[in-house]
Amino acid sequence: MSKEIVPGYDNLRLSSYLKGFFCALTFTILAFLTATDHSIDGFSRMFIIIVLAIVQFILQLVFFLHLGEDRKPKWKTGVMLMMILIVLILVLGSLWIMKSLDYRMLPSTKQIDNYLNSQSGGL
Amino acid sequence: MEEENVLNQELVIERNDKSILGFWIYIMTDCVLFASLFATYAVLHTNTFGGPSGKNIFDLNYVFIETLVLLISSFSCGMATIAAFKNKKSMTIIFFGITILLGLTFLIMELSEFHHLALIGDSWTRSAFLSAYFTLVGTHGLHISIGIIWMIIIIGLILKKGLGPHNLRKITMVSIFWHFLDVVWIFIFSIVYLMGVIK
Repeated sequence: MSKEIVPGYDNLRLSSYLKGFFCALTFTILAFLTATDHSIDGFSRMFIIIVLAIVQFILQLVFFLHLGEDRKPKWKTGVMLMMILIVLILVLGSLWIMKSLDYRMLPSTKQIDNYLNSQSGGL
Repeated sequence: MEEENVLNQELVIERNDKSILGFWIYIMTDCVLFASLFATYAVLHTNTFGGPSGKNIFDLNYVFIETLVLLISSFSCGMATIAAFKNKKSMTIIFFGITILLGLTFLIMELSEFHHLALIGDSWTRSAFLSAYFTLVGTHGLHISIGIIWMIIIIGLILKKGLGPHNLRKITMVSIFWHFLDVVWIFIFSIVYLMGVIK
């Protein structure tokens, strides 16, 4: 009876949650093992962890939050994509600006001295 | 009478659909809040001011257990939603109860970690890195505590009014909220803890 009351949520399935749970569990354990595995160098470990996080993010969205299963027009998915765009601009933009700010910052007195010394062979 | 009932039901359907979309938009703006905290953390995580870096203070095994607790609570929240839509009142309450207990376990683990850090002198006043860390993880913890309170209220509502359309709508919202917190935690676990230990 309650099935007809809130459509879009009448297709809740146990299998979807079970799949989501085991995928999330696997990816969490994989990420944990990658971080503690010292035979791989730091940069590749970070890359693998980011990729695992993004894949787990998408899997949880599909299996737990049922993204893409809403009726047309797919407002939920549309809002989600807009959010991802804003988040990317916000995070990557901040990092870019701060990195370039660091680069353009006036160097410390010590660095200037070192530079001058290297130019004139000492004062 | 029959026709009127159908019409009424359709009105309820439409209203529920709209409020769930509205709640979804709120969740997305909450994502933007977390994104700005992540950006702050990403910019400041190297500014340790002579204090400890992530490598010195994070205990990965401990955080891994925290992550598993939250993941299992997300799953049991899903179970509660399924039970609610199948009109199984006692199952819904039991699964929400399990979710609340797991959520509390997670919160206590997080707070005791904070307590430990504050005791050894590495509180949020120590460095920019620690300020950003406490703000990001603390905001998530605050959301978790709101979620726990919300679920307690929902259990009260189910006991009082059963599993009518209004309560089903509220249950759907709280489960969206709880799954969303687990999604945010994936990134805190990966970016703050796992990558913090590598550096």
